[in-house]
Amino acid sequence: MKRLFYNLKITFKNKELIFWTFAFPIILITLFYAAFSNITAADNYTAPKIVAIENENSKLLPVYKQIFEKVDALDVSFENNFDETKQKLEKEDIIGIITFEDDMSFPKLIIEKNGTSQTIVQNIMTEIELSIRSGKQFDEVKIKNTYERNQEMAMIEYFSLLAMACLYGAMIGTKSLDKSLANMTASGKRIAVSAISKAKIVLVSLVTSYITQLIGLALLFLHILFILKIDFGPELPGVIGLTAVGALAGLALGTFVSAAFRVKEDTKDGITTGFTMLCCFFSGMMGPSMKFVIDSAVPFLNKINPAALLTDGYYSLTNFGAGERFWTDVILLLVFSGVISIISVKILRRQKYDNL
Amino acid sequence: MTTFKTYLRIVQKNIWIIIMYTVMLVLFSAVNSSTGRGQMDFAATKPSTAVYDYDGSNLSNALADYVKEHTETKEIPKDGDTLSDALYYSDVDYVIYIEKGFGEKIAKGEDSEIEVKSNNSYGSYLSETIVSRFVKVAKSFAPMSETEIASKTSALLKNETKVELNTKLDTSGLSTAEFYYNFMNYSILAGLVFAISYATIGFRRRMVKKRLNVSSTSYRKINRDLMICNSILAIAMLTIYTILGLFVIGPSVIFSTNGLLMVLNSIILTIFAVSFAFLLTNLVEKNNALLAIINIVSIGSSFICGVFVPMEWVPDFVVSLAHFLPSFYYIDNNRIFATLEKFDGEHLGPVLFNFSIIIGATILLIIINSIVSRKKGNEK
Repeated sequence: MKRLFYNLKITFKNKELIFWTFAFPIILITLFYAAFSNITAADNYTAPKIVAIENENSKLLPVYKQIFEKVDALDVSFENNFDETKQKLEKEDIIGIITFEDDMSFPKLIIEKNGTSQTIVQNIMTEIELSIRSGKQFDEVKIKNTYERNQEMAMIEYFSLLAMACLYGAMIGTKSLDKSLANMTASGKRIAVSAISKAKIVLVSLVTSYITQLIGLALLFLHILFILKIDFGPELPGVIGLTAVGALAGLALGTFVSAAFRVKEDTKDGITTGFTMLCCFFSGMMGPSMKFVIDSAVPFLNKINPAALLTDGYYSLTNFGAGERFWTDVILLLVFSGVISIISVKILRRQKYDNL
Repeated sequence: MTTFKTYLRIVQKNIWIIIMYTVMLVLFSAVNSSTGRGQMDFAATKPSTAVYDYDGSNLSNALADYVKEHTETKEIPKDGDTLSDALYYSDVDYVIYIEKGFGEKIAKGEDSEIEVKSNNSYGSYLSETIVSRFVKVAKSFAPMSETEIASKTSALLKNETKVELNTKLDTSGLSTAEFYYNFMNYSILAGLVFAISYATIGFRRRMVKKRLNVSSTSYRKINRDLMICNSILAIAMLTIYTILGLFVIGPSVIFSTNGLLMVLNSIILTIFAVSFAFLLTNLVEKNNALLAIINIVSIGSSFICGVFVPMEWVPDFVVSLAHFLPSFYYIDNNRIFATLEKFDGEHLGPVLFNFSIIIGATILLIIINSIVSRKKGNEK
């Protein structure tokens, strides 16, 4: 207990490590929150702006004018000057221009580039054209949407950031364990030649790292819940519990990096950061569809990716409750932590040096 | 030469960092690449859908075929969580269930409610217009036999509003190029800055610094050598990215004026990144701080400047904040280059303004760097 207390004291004296390890996810989630605070509004449909060019000789223009008044899905205005309107199109102030030929010719849509909004406009215009061609007014179709997204898209990003924070904690584990390694630090050399049980020292280092990580994650949660006011719903205790398991995976990762790579401290930090970012990339941090692409194409990859297991755990927990999928993620995370911890122990056991 | 050899040795040890960010760049661009490259005509966007036909009638088959023709249909098992996952992660925008008796009801002119699962994205809206168009047209022929309605509907639906593309550019190819070069903001600010910082910080370690201080080599010469090494690394990385771009985007797009402007844009950003990395290694001594700053700058700027999320999703106050970052101007230039057709003063004005902001920020960093370097040089 005394050793644990002193170890904690030593860890917290490394102000730079503590500040950046704690502050990094807090700063990043704040930026995510800022970037995504509009995302729900972005999902809502806004009628594309189009301009119809007046043509007195067109017999269909008056018909279209009447129809446009009833169509909410398009924001249509009328102009006389084609060249000026074309400039608006080139500047992308409008999505398209509708031009009417003389007599009974159906209008043509002019667009600047291919895209979803342009296709929507073409679809609506086609529907109007079909209605005129058939001479019938189409009845509305009853469509019942049975899917309700109970979470905003931004939640995927918050989940991946929580996963990143858990794995980023590996740095604390690496630093803490490095102190006990004879090939890394002066204190490690002293420990190696002393009569103290090395296993105990390593164990205390790991417990210290885990406690430090949990403190950092607690601060992150306080920021998320009380400042950003992000709602995880009724499964919040489960989310916190999963984060604690994720921190364990981070700790195991840190231990593994410390034990397996006989390189300088800086390089170890680089390995941890690089691995964490790659895991987060595959778990959808830089684009949510990436996780589904990996899940479909190389499902095994995300079964051994701790960040993907964490994001999947958060997602399944908050969407479907603590079911089989959630527990599978938890078990796989524990297996990941267990396997790399066993490898680390194998590497660390009976290490002897003739000289250092 | 000694500096160069040592620098190269450090870079070689950390080469995996550059490889990792390169892999991310290629994968991200491949996942987000536009279909219909090289297409100079209108190409309708195809949202992704899944169709489950429980009816199996002539009319339901015609509807399923129509949806398949106008969307990218995916075979997704309807049991388990896969379908919900696909909708959640936007792999599928719209799921259509054609219930039993659909054809019969339409033929009789009765209302037939269609059950769908929609993730409320633009893609789902587009899918809905396609489904409802078919059903509306089919219903307009009722009452009639199913086979007749199916053939009449298909015949009428062949008429579509004609679309003319104002631009003569390969917009789909340029859209992929825009994705590629936008993601390069992250790869350069994370990967290159990371690699440069690691290599440079090796020379800033206390013991190495002490040895350098007592050596005959001046602090200024070491700094100059390091700057040359950084530039060589940056050029090498940029060359690799451009060569990879030839495969991901295609040579016709890269060697077009717009493509070459995107390359030029990335060169200017790279120069900024090199100065940023060099300043960082002069200001920050601790590795943890360095890593955290690089990650915050690279990920943060990529998020708020519209690399990972479309800029129109980003709220106005964040966009205002993004104006302080050179990445914003780099990404804005890529957006302009993706549609730029006229290369006159009026159209190139915003481009030159964006270039000048990034170059200005680079000059500012170089000035700060020289002040810091001089101060540190005097410290010996």
